[in-house]
Amino acid sequence: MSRKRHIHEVEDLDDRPLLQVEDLKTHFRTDHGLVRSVDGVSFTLERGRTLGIVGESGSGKSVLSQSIMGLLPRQGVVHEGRVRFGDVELSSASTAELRGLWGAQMSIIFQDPTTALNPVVRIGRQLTESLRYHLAMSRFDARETAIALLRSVGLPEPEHRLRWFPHQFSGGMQQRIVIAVAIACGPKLLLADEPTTGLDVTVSAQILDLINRLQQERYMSMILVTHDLSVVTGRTDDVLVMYAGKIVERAPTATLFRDMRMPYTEALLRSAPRLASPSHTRLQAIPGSPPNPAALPLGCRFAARCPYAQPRCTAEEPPMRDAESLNHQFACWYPVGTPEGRRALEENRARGPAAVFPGTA
Amino acid sequence: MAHLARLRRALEALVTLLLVTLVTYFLTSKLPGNEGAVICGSAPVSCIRHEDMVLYLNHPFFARYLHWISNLLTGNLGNTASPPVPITTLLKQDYPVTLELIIYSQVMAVAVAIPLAMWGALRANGTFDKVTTGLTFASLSLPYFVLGPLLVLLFTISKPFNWFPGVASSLPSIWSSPGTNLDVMFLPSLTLAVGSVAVYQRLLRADMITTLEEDYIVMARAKGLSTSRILFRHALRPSTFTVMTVGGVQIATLITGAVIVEYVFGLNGLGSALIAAVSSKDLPTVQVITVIVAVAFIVLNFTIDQLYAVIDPRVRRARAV
Amino acid sequence: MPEQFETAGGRQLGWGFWVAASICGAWIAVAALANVLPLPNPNYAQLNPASPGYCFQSLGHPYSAHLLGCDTDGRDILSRIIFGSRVSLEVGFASIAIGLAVGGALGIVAGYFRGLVDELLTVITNVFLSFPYLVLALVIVTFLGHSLFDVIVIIAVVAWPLLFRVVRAATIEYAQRDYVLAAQALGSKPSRILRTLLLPDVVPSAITYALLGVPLAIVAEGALSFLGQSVPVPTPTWGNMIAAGSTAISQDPILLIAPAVALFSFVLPINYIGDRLRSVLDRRQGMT
Repeated sequence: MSRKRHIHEVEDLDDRPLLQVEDLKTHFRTDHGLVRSVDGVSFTLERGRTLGIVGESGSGKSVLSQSIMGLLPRQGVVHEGRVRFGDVELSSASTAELRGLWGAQMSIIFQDPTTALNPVVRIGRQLTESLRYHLAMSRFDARETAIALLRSVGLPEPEHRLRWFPHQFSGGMQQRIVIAVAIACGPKLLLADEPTTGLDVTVSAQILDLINRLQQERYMSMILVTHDLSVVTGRTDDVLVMYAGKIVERAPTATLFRDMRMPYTEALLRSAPRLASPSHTRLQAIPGSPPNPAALPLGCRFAARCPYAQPRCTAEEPPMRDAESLNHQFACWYPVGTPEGRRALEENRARGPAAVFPGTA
Repeated sequence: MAHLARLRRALEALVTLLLVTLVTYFLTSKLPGNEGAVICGSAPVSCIRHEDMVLYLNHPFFARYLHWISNLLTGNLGNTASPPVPITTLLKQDYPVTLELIIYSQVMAVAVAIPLAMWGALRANGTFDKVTTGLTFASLSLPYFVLGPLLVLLFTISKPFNWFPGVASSLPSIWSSPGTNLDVMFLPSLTLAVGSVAVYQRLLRADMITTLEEDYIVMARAKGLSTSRILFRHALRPSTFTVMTVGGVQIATLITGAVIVEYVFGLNGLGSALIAAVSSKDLPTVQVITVIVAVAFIVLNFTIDQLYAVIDPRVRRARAV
Repeated sequence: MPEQFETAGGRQLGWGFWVAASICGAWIAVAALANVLPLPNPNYAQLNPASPGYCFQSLGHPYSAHLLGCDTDGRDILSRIIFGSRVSLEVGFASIAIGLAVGGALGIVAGYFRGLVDELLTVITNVFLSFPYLVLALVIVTFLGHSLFDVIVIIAVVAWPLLFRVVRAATIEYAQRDYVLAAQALGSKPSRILRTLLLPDVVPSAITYALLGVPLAIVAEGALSFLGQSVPVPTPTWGNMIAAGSTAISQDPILLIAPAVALFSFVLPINYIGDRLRSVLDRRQGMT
């Protein structure tokens, strides 16, 4: 095993964002055709800022986070577009280069803590191995750092827990350990992929607060991926709404909630569980389901489920355009809160429920 | 619950042990052999007289069995039929060869099977994977008594490859001259190893493919660890559960293999002792070796079952079955 | 999994299966027709220079009258291999058939009725399985004898506990199915449930496992033969030919290679057949 470390110190260039994603496409070759999970996503993320990516399951948001990291296999997957991390071009980086960044400069927190930790490896080693590998720490230093990390994520009596196995902890505690592993080497970018899916409401709020606190303390940039709009409220600076592999609306978080334009965002917000209800409630209130990513429809991908949909929506794909408010873009022909949108909705209502929800007719 | 289950397994093993001795005694006492030898234990040869034999045979079966088993338990294994040598002497000579053969072969098998399985699983259905899987499948159809002589033919006789000493070379102790010993034992161990490689490679590869799809492997990659570290530190152990459960069955196959391999290569181990005893209808020796082999099998199987708990921490505390 | 959508049995098995089946079929045909084929007597030493089949050298060296040459006793190797296949095939199939009849029947009973019968049979089979098969076979052969029938019985004794185990496990699994439980709840007679609901499912898997046992039985007979504990010489068997060949390898390797190739060329395809059938069976079980 090569002990050569490929830590690539990402330079702090004030004029350049930490992460630039340009027209990223991730398509899987399968027996059922080309599955277009991520289909042209662009955004930038500044140093120390947080970005929420929201969408239903199947919208491609989880693939997006692994795709940004470069974790997806190269075989059988079409990768297009550019991902730039600091001054490193991830899309063309070698495996060794990526390995030097993974864990050290960019980390990911996975959905399910019960499967993200290796069941047969003591948590102490799962925590210290990246410290020893990336930062070349001594066994003792790594142990001390691990204890400090576990303490900072709120694990009680960390010095006694290092020799425990994952199954000896509760789900919430396991997720805290996963977070500790992710932040161990002090990454500049943290991707949190539905970090609270399997947890109950109170625990999930604690975990989200913990992630937020750590992000601010350590001045990390963070991408928080979730299906639950209420999760990003007050926690992220900006929000991207994703549907069927594309971004359909982007705005600063407060703007989005106040002044959404995309009917999909509206539907998401209406169906989102309130803070009081369990966080893993599925978004069932939007009729129908996202289109098959192997056979995407013409025009707007949401049209089939959209109460505003007009003939134009199924024929022409709406481009991203600017809203009046700052840094706010959306892709819709009949946006919410505009005269055209209101007219479209009324016409559809007049035609009856079948016209309002064509997907369920 | 866990303790009860473990107790139950131990009890089962004990009952099986007892029955194994009973069956062995029953089967072997039916052998048309020199039954008189049994009662005399390690007493001098003169013991075997006609009167003793009649006396012995007039006892009921269970009385004879109890006599025999109590002798066995006190370490009195008796004498071989002819010439009368204490069986313990015979065993002390022979067991190290068999033990070395089995250990040597398993070291080889594991050393070859793990990299083959890992590399195959990493690129599942790639060329390397297909070729190794095909080869190991084919090697399952090469019994020890075919492979052994073929290896002898290939590596001891014909000119370019006669790298190893031939059949029935004298075998020095591993402690006094390890080089020569390992040289002589190489081909016998290889013969025994090939079948094990096939079994281990196939099971390990299948489990490894499943393991590599686990979230914690993606997470290990996301930590930036090297492929070899991920494979050995993260993927190997969770992939060994099936191999462990099958390991017990493997031991029975290995003992059978050892009998043949020792015969093929003219090694003086327990296997060739058993064959010699069977051919000369040496009843006491057959009984003792059979019992020892069966007992070793049961004990090893039981141990491996317990080892399972060491490998998988999740079953260390609560084990249902 | 696209394979699951393929319903035709033949396509699931793949072309390799049919190649393997043809090789096995060819061996069975050759073994059955050995008496009719134009082969010299496998036990006749062709040492008389006056006879038409005279082996001019006592060893190997193929030529027209003896395609593979002759062994150290001047007997035709090809003929011995073909007649030797008879022992292997007879022992392989007959012993597994007996083992399946005994072990399979007991396995169904134990797996369906469970309880004390099951416990008892399981302990008995565990005892049998505690003896490495060759050791057990060697012990039994010593007092049973060496006739073809004895050898078949010995290998059946060794094989039945394994077949018991797999058939019992299959029965337990099938007996858990909804329609069986429903029939039980409706008060159908156990014998009727066994006959109409369980057997149609258990029998195919039992036969598949039995097929996997055939090569093992052939190898077991070969091992006994090799150790001189099977059918007595001069009857040719692959095992005793390999044994004879391995003592004479320095004289002529073909004496070893010919029977080794013969054994391999039968055991490999039959192993492959069993393996394919089992994977198809596993897939079917996974689907229902």
